[in-house]
Amino acid sequence: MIRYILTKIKNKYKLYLCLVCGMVSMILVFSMIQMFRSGSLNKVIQAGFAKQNETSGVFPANISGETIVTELSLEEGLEKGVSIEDNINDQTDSYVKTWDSKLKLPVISDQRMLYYLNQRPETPYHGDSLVLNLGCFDDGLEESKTESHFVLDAGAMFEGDISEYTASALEIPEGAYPAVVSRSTADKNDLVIGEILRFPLLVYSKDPGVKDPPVLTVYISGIVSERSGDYFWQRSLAKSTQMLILRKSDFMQICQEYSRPVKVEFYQSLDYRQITSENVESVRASLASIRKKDDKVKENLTPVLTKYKVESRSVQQMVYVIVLPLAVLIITFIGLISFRIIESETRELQTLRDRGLSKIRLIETYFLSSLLLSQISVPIGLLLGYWFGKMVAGVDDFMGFSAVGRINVSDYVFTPAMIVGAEIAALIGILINLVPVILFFGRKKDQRRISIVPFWEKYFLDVILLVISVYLLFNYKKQLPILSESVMQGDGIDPVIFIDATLFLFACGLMMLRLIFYVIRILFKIGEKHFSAATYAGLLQIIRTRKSSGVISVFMVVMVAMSLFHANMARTINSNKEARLHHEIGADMVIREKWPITLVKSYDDEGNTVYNWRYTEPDAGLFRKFIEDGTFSSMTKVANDPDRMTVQGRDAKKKITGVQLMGINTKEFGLTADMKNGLNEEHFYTYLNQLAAVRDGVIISSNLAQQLEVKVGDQVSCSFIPPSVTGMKNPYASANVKVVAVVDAWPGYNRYIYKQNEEGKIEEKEGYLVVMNYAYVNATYGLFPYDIWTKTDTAYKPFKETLKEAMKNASDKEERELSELLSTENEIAKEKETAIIQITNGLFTSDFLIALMLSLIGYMIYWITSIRDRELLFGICRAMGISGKEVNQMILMEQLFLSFMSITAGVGAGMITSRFFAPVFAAVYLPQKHSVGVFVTSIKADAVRLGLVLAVAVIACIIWIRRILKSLNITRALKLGED
Amino acid sequence: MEQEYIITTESLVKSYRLGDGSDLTVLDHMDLKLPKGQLIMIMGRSGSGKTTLINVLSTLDGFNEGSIRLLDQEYSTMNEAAKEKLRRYQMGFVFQSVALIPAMTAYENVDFGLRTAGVKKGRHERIQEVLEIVGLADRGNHYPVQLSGGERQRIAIARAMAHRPPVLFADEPTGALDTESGHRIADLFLDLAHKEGLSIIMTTHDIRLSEKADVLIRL
Repeated sequence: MIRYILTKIKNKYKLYLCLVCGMVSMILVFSMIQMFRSGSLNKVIQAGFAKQNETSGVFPANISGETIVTELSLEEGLEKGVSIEDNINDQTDSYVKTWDSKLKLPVISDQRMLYYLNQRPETPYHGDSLVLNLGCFDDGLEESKTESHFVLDAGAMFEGDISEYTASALEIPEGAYPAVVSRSTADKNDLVIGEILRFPLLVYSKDPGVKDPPVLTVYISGIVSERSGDYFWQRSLAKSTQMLILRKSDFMQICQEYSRPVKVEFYQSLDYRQITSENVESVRASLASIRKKDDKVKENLTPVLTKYKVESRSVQQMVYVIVLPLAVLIITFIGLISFRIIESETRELQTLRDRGLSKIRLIETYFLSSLLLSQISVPIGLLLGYWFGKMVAGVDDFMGFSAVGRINVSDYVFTPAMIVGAEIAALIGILINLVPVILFFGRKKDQRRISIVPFWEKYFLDVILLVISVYLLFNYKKQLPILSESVMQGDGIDPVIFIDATLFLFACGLMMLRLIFYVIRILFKIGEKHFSAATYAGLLQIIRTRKSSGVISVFMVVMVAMSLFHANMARTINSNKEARLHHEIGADMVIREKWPITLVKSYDDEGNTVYNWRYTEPDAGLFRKFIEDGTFSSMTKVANDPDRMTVQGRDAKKKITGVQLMGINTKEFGLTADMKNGLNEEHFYTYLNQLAAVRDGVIISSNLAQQLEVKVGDQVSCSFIPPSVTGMKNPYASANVKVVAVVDAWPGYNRYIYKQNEEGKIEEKEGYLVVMNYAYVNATYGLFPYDIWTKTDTAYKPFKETLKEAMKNASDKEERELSELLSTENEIAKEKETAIIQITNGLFTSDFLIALMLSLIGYMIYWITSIRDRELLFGICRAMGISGKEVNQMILMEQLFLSFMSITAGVGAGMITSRFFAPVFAAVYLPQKHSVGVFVTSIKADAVRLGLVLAVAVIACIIWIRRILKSLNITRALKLGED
Repeated sequence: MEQEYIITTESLVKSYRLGDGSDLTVLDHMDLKLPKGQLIMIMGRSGSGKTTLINVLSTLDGFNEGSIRLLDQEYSTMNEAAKEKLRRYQMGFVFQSVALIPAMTAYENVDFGLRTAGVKKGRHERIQEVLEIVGLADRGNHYPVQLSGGERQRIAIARAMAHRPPVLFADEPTGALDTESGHRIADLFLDLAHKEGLSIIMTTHDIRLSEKADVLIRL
């Protein structure tokens, strides 16, 4: 049987090769989506930790616990020959090992704090008023490195000469232990280097019978701080404001001599990079179990992982629903090829049946051949899936391959799930491959009923699908605000949106095809009497064979429609995100520097504390040199305060607080800022000119104008409150200004502000804006930090280093520090690496390429086999005297009509779907309202690219068919027909 | 009255080059005079050269030596386009494999034949007429798949004769049919030859059919 199968495959190698192409594509897609799924989920996890780090300022994967090692257990240990150190370590390790065994995450740092709690020392200066903890730190990973985590600010690290820090010659009592303290401990407790502390309340337990037991004595040898950027300090040293830090060996010695319970706090930083989509659930469950077992355990991973659980749902849904149309397309392709194979083997099958082979036996041969081909396809599909997945994950736009290599794709790795995906795809491939042979045997032999109408046309499947999808679309459109909110709250995406888009796309494509067929039939009816034989035969062939050719037509339609729709959606999402970022940042790059502020405390007449403040302006000349060397083509100062302005209209009752104030130099601002056209009634230069003309003029946002019921020409009162650091809430300066313009949008201002409330829900708030002349702002409200807005095409990363270096070398007295460097280019690049955008660009691109490849193969194989099947017919036509040229014309017309029809229907369906579904998709991808409203981007180049590829396919097909026809020998064709 | 001939051949030679380089002569200096308006049957065993002869006579295949004339037209002076024209306007073809276009109804298949021959007027009437002649006037709207083998062959005959060619070539037209259908086709040919004045040249290996021939050529 194997030999028979191999011979069969060899004889029809072209068709079987196509089948393998289909199976490889399916395996590629199924394995690739597994890679995308896990890669995207990994990205979501890592992005969650990065965000947590950014917002909280602490390492995002800490776990801590505490225990008390009682003096009794220490004594019992000693009796059993277990040293104090080993005893404490054993008891601590029992916790840590549980974490380790459950979480299975590498530990980056292991900070341990061992101490006697609340000890009261006596000192010559403080008497017995101090309450201190006496203990040591320990590096749980490498004890010998403990001291390396400290930086000695003053004195000595336990040992060394400290005489220069003491007022008089220091006499250290015999047996006194050296200790270091943090600056905060020293400041809070007024401790100084050389200070001697005695602990008379600690009972000397080593030898209870001894007379005059020694009193534990400690002296301060140095002031220490934590080494900057050291992961060891999960619990900051600055927080240990009561700790006398001893050497560990000394503290162990003390524990032997002065029996007290030892409190142990341990802090571990875990390598969260090892948390992946594969182990995330087990880590989450383990953390829950650890916390349940010990309520003193604290960790900050769970909020990130809980958020991930919600987000992961959306990500997974998105991965699956985006490839859904492609999966349908590939299944159709495999079905198409399988039907062709059965058609080409019909006679052979009938002969074998006549010779007595059972149906089961014949189906078995097809099953075995499918199994063989699918298993050949699995390794190929897997390898291609891995390679292709990596490649498309690196695109930064729809078909944006220029970014491959720049975009980080390290999260997209080979996973065992890919093999599972591949085998599922292979199984589906086998089942689809068996459908035609089963149907063949189920068919009645004498089937004389003629059906030229495809089933979807006959049963109005297109209309039904269209009605369903339009109904769903209508409902979604009604619920857009709810939909956006649910996405914002992280409740996931409704996958039906994507399915609905696919349904609509199919329905639209089929409907267009139906309409085009109607047009052809009308044309045929009109010209029927006058057509030449070739035109007559060609048109009838198109009309009557649309049931069989319909499959390839539907395939082409859906491919073109899907490709255009996906291209438009990806372009729309990318361009909207980019436009929003451009608008929010306002310029190519915005430099925000930390301004030193001097606060002077005083009291008002009523005795309340008030502050006078003064900002020190860093030398802006530093930035001028970037203009000189051409790094910036322009720059401007923008005094930008987010919320300290209060604006009042004529009606004193109407007052809006928390308004954003922007002080600008109109000319420079115009040259530097970015503003998308069409967001306001006029170009923004018009408003800048209006502001420039009025010294005390103000441009206000339209929502502010609406709230205060003011218009251009009205006066408004703008009061400014002191900086938040002063804690003062009353305005210190106020001015009446004239409204010169009302705008809907402005660079650097977004009307909609989204913040998380205490319940963790995202809330929408209106943002208001006033824009004044910079000089007027300075004169009225004093100097406050401004941003430097720049127009530049310099790359973010190298420029940041250059800027930092320039700041370091600046001649300012105070050390200059960069607070923030916002770059549109960098923010866009970061956005491109988010899981959702990477899925969208990557999968839409892969869908397009795979669909295109399959369409080309499907289209060519359909035509080639169709021509081969009709060789006899063409032989007869030639015998009847129809010239080769006319036969060519007949085929060409048929081919052009079908491909032209399909492409036209596809383009129509793609455009209509894009038009209707863009707002719904925007609710998913761009749920937040924005001053830059959602706009649909459709790039003609995509359609041209698609058209060119298809044109090449059609031309290749025509050339191939001409070759076949040219080599057509009439008598041989007739002979073959007779055979 | 002097006998008119539809086709005449003189010293017709047709040979094939075999794989070993030697030549196989199938038609060796054949002289034929085929009378007009008669049913001419070429009979012989398999491999005797029946199909080769009919293919050569109908210009589907070339020949090596000699001459062939259809009425007053000499084949050897014709290029491929002229032969196509000849087949298109002056010949009709019926093949063993029922060569109807599956996407067309019986009516449309005949119409296709007429359009091929450049007939622009009176097509509908002629189609009805020929369908009547072949006895399938009521099956015009049927697709080939809805017809029996014999019916399909009769539609093929209708298509071949619709444009009134002087000669109709039929290569084993009854080969794929049962005996009864075969005889009905032969009777139809006889009728067409005698009543319509059509010259019909057909091949067959069925000795019983050969009894119906006006002229029998044995190979």
